Amino acid sequence: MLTKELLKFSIRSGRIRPAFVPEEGDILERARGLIDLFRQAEGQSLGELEELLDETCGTGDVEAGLRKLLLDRCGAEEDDGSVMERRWQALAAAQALRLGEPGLDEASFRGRLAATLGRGFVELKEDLYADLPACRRIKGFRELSAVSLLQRYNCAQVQGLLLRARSVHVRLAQASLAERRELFRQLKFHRLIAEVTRDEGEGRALVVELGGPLSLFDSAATYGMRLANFFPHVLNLPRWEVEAEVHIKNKTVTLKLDQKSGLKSHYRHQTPFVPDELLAFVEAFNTRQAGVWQASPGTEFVHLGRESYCFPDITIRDQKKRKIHIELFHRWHAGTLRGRIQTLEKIGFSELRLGVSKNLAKTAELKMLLEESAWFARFGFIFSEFPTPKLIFGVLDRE
Amino acid sequence: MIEGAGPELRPPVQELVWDERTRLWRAPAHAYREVVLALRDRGLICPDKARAYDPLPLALAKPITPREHQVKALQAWVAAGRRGVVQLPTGAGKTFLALLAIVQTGRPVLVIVPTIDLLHQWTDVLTTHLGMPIGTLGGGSRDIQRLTVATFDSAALQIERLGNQFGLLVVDECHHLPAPQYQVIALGSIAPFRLGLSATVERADGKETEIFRLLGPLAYEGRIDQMVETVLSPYDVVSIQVPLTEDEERRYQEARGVYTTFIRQHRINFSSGRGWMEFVHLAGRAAGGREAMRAYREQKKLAQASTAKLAELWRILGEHSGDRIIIFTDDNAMAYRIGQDFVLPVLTHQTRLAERKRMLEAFRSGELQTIVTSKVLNEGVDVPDARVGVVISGSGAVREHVQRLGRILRHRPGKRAVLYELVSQGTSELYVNQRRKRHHAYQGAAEIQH
Repeated sequence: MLTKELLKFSIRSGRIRPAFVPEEGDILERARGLIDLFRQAEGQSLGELEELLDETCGTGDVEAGLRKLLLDRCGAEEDDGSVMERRWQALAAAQALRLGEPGLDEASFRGRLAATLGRGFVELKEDLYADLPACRRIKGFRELSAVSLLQRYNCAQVQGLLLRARSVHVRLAQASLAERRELFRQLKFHRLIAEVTRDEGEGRALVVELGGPLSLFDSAATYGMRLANFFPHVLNLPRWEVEAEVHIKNKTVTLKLDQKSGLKSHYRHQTPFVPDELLAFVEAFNTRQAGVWQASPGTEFVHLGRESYCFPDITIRDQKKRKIHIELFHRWHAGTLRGRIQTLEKIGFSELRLGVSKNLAKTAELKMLLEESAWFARFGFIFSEFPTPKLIFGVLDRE
Repeated sequence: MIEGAGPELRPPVQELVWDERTRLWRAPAHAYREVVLALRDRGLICPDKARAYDPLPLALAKPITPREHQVKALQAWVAAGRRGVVQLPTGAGKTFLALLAIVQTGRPVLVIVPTIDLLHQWTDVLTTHLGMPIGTLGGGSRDIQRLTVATFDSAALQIERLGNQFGLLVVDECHHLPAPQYQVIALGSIAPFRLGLSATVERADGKETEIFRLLGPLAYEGRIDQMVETVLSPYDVVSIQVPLTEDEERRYQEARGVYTTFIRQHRINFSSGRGWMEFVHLAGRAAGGREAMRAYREQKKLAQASTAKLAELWRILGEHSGDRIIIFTDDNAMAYRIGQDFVLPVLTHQTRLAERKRMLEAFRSGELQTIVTSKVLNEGVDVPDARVGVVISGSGAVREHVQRLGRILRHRPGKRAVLYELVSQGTSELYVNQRRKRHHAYQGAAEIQH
């Protein structure tokens, strides 16, 4: 992530435009040069590397940003505490000398101290604070290509602005079902509050409004950090638009970007995944219930009031378009299940059916929670590996 | 959130916002008190699910006898509705005042402090005087109790989860609070009772108004000049002007020339309060800006770290052999230079926690008699018996000087403290030095010019 002073942008007519760098030409060469220096830096101190960079590289704003991103990829040696031990010996000896002979001039003091400690004064002086961060030796550098560095730089320019965003509006077109599910999973993982709708235009793109309770009142640093960390996931989608309201330099300005900006994500693009058993379930259910109920993999948020929302695994519609959502909890979902049951107990939401795997339901604490929940008694069910169409059909008509 | 009231409700609290997404009224946590009082006034009875604490009867396990100024400060804070800021010089007993406020208020309390050292100090004081478990949050610890001490950084990260568990929020060194990353602590806490503590609330950027908005008004102000002899040690300020060497003088004038020419060319006005920001802005954009910035740094470094200052420091160290001395510098580089040249312990933000603790213990016990520091000891850290302060260099900020002065003013019978200020002759340091002396903190001292 880049600090505020490393963000480069222009503001005109209420719109902020990050100053992206091209991934070619002179700047690519300079990025290569910088990476070479970092690659050869193993064994040098961080201070020495900084000095070398000052001498050999430009002092331009872009270089400063690239240097910051590269420094974040350096590992430094931990010292073993021996410098500190020598320091305390030297400090004790120096104090004893000062107290014992208060009238000593500087030169005599240095000579006497060096003699007492059996080392030259210059050596003693250099060793005294050799464990400071700037003196720590670099022991590793996480490699990346020059192009990748420039891509990260451009992405970091946007992330730095999103740290200061009050609201973010993301429009996604042509995202596959699996891509949408992956995006929702990431929203949930980053604990972002979102409202998802479909717009009325061509292709009915998905519109995600991001903003948390605090964003209603003020921009909050922790929320901004989550938002910034989430952003590279958006870049992995085929067509996206981001519009954010950013507060910077005492102004509120608009940031608008889309896939044409050429930004690349440095998050690994995992092939989005819809579990086979889910697809098999949908097919089997629709075959059996043809004409009555229609099942599909869940693609939307369901608001449960306050900040609670869920992403159902399956949505089932009847002929009148009435929707029942199915959310499944497997054995690694204990924490979420506890919170979900508490919320549902309070709000009594009847359009959701909640399935809990046997493995999860048999733990003592959750067993009691489920037994005591009136909501779960009406709308919940237990399944083994994956719910069968018959099991789901049996819970649809509960009211 | 307020449930059961639609958008037609227009409650008289400015900060209530209608959230269309969840169709609920929302207010930031810090408006809790106003919201509850406003709803009560309108006869709207809502079950209070926000508050997750109950009153907590507290008593002093180890009694303390408050001094007159502490009694007055406490009365003023209570009269302000138990919301407000108390400004007292370092050494005037802010922690004990807070302890009295905590006991009188009888609610779970979250104490926010800027450093790990202060976290330990507060924990020790609360444990000793209240005789109950004290939680700590910060420096690798996450133990939440009904009385908890947290660092600003950790509290900012955790307030989302802790904001409803405490009825009293005490913010030590509350002049840090206006920083955007820290405001969230006060915004995210529902605590209806709030106490801010500081030696100098006033900020160069005028953002003390944010402190008053978040914690309440300035309830009490105790001034150094009114407390000398009774609460604080009497003291002398000795200003020593030292010359630059010929080479330093030439380089200083050269750099100063480049810098001031740029300032004049661009008509930057430093008396406006925004002058420095304007200079930084132009230095990054205008022709000759980078050279001007380099020149500014060079002339400042020459004035702050002149050869004669180091020679004078050596003389002072010899003269005060046996006294406990704190040497203050403006930056870490100068602190370490002095540490290396004179083989002295240096305490900065780069000092690791364990060593920092060891160093302060050694300084308290007398094992170490001198400490060099840049900013770390400016505030908060309890250094009981330092008698001599030497300011090698510093910013022009009054707060910094009042805080540094506070390090040596802790009262002890028969003690007379001395603060040396080393100023490079014929440099801008002289103007900075004279300007800050207009502050009332300097009025209580005998001033000696050399």
